[in-house]
Amino acid sequence: MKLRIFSFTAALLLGPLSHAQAVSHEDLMRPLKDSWLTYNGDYTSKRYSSLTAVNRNTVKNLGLAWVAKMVPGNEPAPLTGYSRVNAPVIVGGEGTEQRSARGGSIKGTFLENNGVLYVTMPDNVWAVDARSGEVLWHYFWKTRGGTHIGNRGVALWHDYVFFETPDNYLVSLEAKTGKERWHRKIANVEGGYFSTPAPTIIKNHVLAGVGNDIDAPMFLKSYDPETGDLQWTWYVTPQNPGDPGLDTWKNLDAARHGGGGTWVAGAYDPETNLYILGTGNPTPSWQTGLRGDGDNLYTCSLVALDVDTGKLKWYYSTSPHDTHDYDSAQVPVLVDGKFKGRQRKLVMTASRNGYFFVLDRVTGEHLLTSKLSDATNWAEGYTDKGGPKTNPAKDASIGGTLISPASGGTVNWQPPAFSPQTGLLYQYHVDSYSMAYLTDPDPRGAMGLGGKEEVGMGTTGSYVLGIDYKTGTPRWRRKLYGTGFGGGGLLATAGGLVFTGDGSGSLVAFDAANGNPLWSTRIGSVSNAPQTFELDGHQYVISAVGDTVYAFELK
Amino acid sequence: MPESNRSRSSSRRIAAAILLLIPAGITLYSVAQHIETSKFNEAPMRPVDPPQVVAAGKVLYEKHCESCHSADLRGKENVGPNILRSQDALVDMHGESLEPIIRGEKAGLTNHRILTEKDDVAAVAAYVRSILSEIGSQGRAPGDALRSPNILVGDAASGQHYFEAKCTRCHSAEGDMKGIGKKISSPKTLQSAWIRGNHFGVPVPVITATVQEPGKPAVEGTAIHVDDFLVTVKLQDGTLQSIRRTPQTKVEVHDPLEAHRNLLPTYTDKDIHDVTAYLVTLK
Repeated sequence: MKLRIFSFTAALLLGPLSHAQAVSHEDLMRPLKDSWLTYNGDYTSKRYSSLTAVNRNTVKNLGLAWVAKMVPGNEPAPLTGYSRVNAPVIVGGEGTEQRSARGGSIKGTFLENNGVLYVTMPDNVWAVDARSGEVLWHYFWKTRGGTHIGNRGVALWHDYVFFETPDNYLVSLEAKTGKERWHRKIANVEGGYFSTPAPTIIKNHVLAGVGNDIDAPMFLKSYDPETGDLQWTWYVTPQNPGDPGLDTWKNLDAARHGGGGTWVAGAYDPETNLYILGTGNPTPSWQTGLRGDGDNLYTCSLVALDVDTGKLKWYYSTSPHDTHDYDSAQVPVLVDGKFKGRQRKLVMTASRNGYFFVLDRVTGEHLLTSKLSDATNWAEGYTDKGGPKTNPAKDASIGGTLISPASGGTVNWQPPAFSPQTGLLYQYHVDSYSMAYLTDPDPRGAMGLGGKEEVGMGTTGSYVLGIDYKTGTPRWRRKLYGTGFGGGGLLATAGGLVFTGDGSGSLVAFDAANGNPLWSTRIGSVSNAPQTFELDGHQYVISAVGDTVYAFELK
Repeated sequence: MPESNRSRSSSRRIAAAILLLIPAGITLYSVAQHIETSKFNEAPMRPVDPPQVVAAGKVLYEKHCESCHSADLRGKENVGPNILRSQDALVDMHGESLEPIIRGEKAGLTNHRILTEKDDVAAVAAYVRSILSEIGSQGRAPGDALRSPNILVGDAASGQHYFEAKCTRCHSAEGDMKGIGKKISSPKTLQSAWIRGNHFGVPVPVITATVQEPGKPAVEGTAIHVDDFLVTVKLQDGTLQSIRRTPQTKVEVHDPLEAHRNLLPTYTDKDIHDVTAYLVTLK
């Protein structure tokens, strides 16, 4: 009897949501506003919402709308004070063991469409009622293993949800029910591959990237969202004789094992049909015996691919010949604006290596490089192409080398935000230090991230920066009270606000113009980038702390 | 921006912090071991083969494979590739991928007919898998964790010169640093310790805060939490007090190690190596 009451309640709750609204290409092309349909909000990756109800004046009235705790694994979640129904759990996956029912945290972006939020942790996807926090369905993937370090979220297209698993499957679900449509193997988990990215969907392409720390070839794959058929594969490093970039490697074998992860989603420029993303570090990471002294293309680069063919159109090496595991897998942001008096179509990125770059996104022409902090010490001067020039004296050494930033970077995967109102790019910046010891002096070099020991020496400052892209210098620099990144990324709004975790237990709103703190709520260490959407005329601000989602609205 | 002014009391606290390191025999876990990656960074799962099969495979490997792929399986340039980063080897679970290669049946490898006997081929594959199980999820070379190259590459005389010029305002070879080279026997740990001003496994010196609200007596205690909106301190009697910050609230945080951290940008690697070479001589 009790069960029936619950299912009746569930039917009532689910009833109004049964009109799942299909996400069209036109929807995905719109600038970020009432919904949140793709990892970076929209194809420009600005994470800039034009919603204004929550603004400099009203933000003080932001209060809790609901809280929802996500329970990973395939057991039904316990009913809590704020949950009234047992959501259906749909189980998929190729794993045979119960090795994945583990804790995790939410490090991804939620997508919001028509009152439904899609929330992820590694191996888990939840559809959540955006008005109440009630879980509508939960999909659980039984894993075969792999690095369970994070999941950045799902992609939406038509009535379908797409996500990647740590054991490298691209899985497609029905958005309304969570029922699986198909899954495709992207890479071999046994080969050291693991997948964290949120897929990006452009036209009829699902773009899925991977990571690997054992010298494997890295790639971006494009799948048909309807059938799951593979359309193209772009390898980050040369795989065959005659491939472009081969002369930047010691030999073909080195290039084939050269790494360059594709583990963060990029941006899309419809005018040029280019998908622009940042690539990861070369491997072996800390020693170059196997890979030679060249730039090791196209690792640690911004690359622009024709989205229909997967062909490289231009590249820019943001960390030529990286020797510190400074992935350049940061989100590039597309901006139309004035640069040196001329209106230009720009792409910009603040890299893990401590440098900021502005390029012309049509041609890839390099326009500006700046060093964001004096602490950054691994490079000396610039290459003839304007990139930071690796200083071999700052490579890991037997006696130890003091490097800044530590290999975790001045920033890592955390997505930045850009406000057209202020012309500023918002990004974290941590002045971290570590001692890098070479432990394997074998001239052949180690593999992957091996052959070194890195010992943290602390940080001298942790900040949110508002970077003026015209000069490459921070117009403001807000000190955070923690020693790491403030949280899982940033959000800018037309209300003149920047939202972020503050790295010491609060979600905060800064004045986008000057970094002044305006609002704070002590919900714990924010683990993903705050987001906003509008539903029934209410603007919500949402963020996650570990396994729990918090939604705020004006009270 | 590094702050260049240090108060005398914070200098004393740094000295105290260094002294805290001294208990000998303390296990500095993080330093003694290689820094491991997240517990979620799982190496691929492989079946464990019987030890006698692995041992037999090792003998066969040494006889037939080592001359090209080297003893540690990491290969020889232009002779034999590194087996440990070969996707064919990494994905192998039961010989299905490795054995055809060992038998020379894979396209392009027909001259690779090293072994043909079924059990021999399986044993070599098992041996290769056993070594692969050592590389973890991030490509550590076999035995890497056991190697510990001598990090003492500096010049002790230059280090003494540096110490006397830059460190003696707060420290002395005959005082707080006396016997430091004996008390911290690992040079790498000692190097970390003096750069940081303290180290892993040792209690971090207490950070305190003084909060001054207009018209009220100042509140001082251990800093529990500080942000732009709120300060929480632990008072001398052990109770917590939180104070809402207003633009008029003055908050001073005293972190004994801040001054030490602010020196980080000033060191050259040679300074670091030299000072460590000197400090290890303070027996």
